[in-house]
Amino acid sequence: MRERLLTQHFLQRFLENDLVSPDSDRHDVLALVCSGLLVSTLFITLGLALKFLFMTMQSPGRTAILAADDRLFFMTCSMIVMALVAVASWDALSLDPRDSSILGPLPVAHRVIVRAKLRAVGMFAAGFALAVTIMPAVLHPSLMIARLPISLLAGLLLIVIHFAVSLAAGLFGFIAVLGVRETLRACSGRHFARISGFVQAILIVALVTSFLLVPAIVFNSARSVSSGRPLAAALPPFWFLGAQETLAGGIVDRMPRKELPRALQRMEDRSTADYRAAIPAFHALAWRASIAFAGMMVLALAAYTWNSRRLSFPPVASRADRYTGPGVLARLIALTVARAPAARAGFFFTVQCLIRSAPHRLVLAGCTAVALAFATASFQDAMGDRIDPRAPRLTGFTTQTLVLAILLAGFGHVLRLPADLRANRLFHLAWLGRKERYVDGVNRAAAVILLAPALLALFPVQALLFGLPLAGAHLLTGLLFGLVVIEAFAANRRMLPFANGYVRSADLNTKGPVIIIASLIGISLFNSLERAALGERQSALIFWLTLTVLLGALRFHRRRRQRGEAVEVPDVYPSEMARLDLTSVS
Amino acid sequence: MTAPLLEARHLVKRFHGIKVVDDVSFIVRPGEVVGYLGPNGSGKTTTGRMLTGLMEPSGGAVLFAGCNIGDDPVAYRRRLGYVPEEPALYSFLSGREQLQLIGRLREIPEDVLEHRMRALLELFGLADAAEQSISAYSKGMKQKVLIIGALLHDPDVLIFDEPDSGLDVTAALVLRHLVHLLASRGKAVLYSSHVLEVVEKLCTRVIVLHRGRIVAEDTVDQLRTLMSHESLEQVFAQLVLETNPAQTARDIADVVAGHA
Repeated sequence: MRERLLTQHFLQRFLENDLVSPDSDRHDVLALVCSGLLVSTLFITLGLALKFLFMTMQSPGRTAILAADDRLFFMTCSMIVMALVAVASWDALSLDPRDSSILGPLPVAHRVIVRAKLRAVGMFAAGFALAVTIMPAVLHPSLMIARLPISLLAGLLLIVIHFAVSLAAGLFGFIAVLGVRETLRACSGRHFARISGFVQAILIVALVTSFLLVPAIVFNSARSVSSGRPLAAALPPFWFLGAQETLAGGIVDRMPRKELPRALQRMEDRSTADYRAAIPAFHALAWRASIAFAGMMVLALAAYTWNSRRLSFPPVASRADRYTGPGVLARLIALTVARAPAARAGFFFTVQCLIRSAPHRLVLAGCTAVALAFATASFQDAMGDRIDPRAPRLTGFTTQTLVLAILLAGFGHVLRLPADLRANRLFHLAWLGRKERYVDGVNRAAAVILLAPALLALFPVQALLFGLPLAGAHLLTGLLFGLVVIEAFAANRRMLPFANGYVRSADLNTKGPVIIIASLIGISLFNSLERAALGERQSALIFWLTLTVLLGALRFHRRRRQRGEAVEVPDVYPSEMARLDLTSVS
Repeated sequence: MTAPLLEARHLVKRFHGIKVVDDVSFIVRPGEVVGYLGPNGSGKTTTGRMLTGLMEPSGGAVLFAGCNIGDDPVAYRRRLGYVPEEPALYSFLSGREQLQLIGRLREIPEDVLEHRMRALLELFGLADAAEQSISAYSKGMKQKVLIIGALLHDPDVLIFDEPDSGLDVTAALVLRHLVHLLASRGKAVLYSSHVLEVVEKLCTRVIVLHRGRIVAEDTVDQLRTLMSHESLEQVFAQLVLETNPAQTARDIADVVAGHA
């Protein structure tokens, strides 16, 4: 009874997630997430499986080959989505000090609390995996065999195997994240609280990037497997593809062949040969999937059990937490980019929010992932067709500008998120009206921790593509472009970064597509202009000078407007009173 | 007699038509520690928020050195220190980072800020936890950060809203001596607390608030004499208590034991 109650309590906590739902009802969140998952998987499955219905004279060999690609797509998506679910629930995956302080004094055995938590984690993972898997598992095999002469029992078997293997792939993604987290926790001890956020952000970047690059890997999967490409052996989705093909691949492959027109027959023979050549490799991958799943499960459970042997409490301060004075980097920044106290406040608070505040860090990690996926795909494309330095292609040039635009758009959004509604009254109490200087600091932080690293990361690839001089000139353009964008965002911002209330994003739903299309057109025009300007030294200088003047004008306008401007920190108290519904008091 | 530094003039605050603070007027002079007492929900914290400018009054005004604080809020903030009732701090910052943010927003020169911050962290016993995340701080540690933050810029007016909540015995004693010393150096202090013994020993004058209205204002000695009681606790009980505490305690004990 107690264990059931505790399991229910822990399950509810998964829905009280600051990342997904800072202030909303948990039933709304659950309904939204489940319906979103079911509808999106329905449309994706239909989009992939309809080709079987419209295939000219559907045959087993071609069906097996195409189905393997689809299955790899489903395995990959299921695994990444479930891993992302685990990362999003990062802090709720194990018992934390809050649980300890609430449950510790209660007369409940420690092992009951741990078991309830573990059961809640398992139920949460299974529920999500079910929602991710159910639509593809039912629809894809059904549509795939709709026009093939196959028995009902064989059809059902295909559905059951698809469901079981996809579910296992999804759970593997979840357990892998849990295993990484718990192992790290076991190894890092009291330092876990410090590194946990960074690891979470890195995992978000890696997973979202992988998710966006899925279409690039799920092509001709059977041939990739049979040719022994290292990618196939190294990537877990291929292991689970191997498992599924080992269990269910033969059902379609062993079907009797019909007489086909010559061209189709050649395709069918080639497809059958390709598929059958991959069967031994599928068996090997299936073994790998089984061992990896079991191994990861054992690792995660062992680390989880080890970490849960006693309730966790906040670490006690030690000599290591003593302040020994500002570091070299802090001194350097205070002497160079943020000299005024208000600018220093803006600079350091921005850096601290972006690195340590979970909602800010995770939004930025998501944007970094999108930018990284875009840059990877774009550069991969450009590498295949080396650009002539004298006439660089527009696509290669656009990459840098688009990556910066994605990152800075993310930064613009992050500034709208309050650091902490209640703690923000500090700004109200200590604000001396130096908004222009505070925003200077915020802008410089964006330049130092976002703009500069992005430009430096892109530079080596661009140097390889365009040659060193042109890549250098392009980098300078990128720097000026980034600074102009940061200033342009700041110039129209009334609210104080991180210190405002939650800003409604309803406008984004209606204006979003228009803004995105206009931005893409603007970026394309900017890059055409840049490409033309960088052709000659004089025009390049004029181009950079124009950008510098624009930057100066925006900065001057912004600083003049913000000087002495009152701070608009939301008053949190009236809403508190409103929630008490005092109007009904007679 | 010195001119008042802080003045609440006919302050009123309504929430959805309900008066939470009703026509509250008082003054605080330099060198004075004024105790602000009242039961839960009497309007003490709301008054404090109006005095600091965090909340707009529905009526009346707050005057600083004779001028409405709304006329030049920045000048007022420069000379105001406030320790709020609830320790709302940025949980992702360390104690040192929170204080640095406050000091920089207040434009305290970096070397002065560095010196004061380190010294105060040491004196309040927080030096060993300065780099630890505030999320791991106890209530008392958070309270100390708030007190240091309110003192960093050497303000002329200090508003303490239950500053001793969560503090250990030593820190509470230090705080009591500190408030006394600050007042003796000319600071105007408004001190709201539920610990009546502290208020009795510390405050030059006491204001008792009940249901948003001031029900008594005088020196502790005068109040005791006027109401013929030996302690401030008895005076307070007579002014604001509507139930018999002993009877309520007996009822609670009965409910817990299952007799009621």
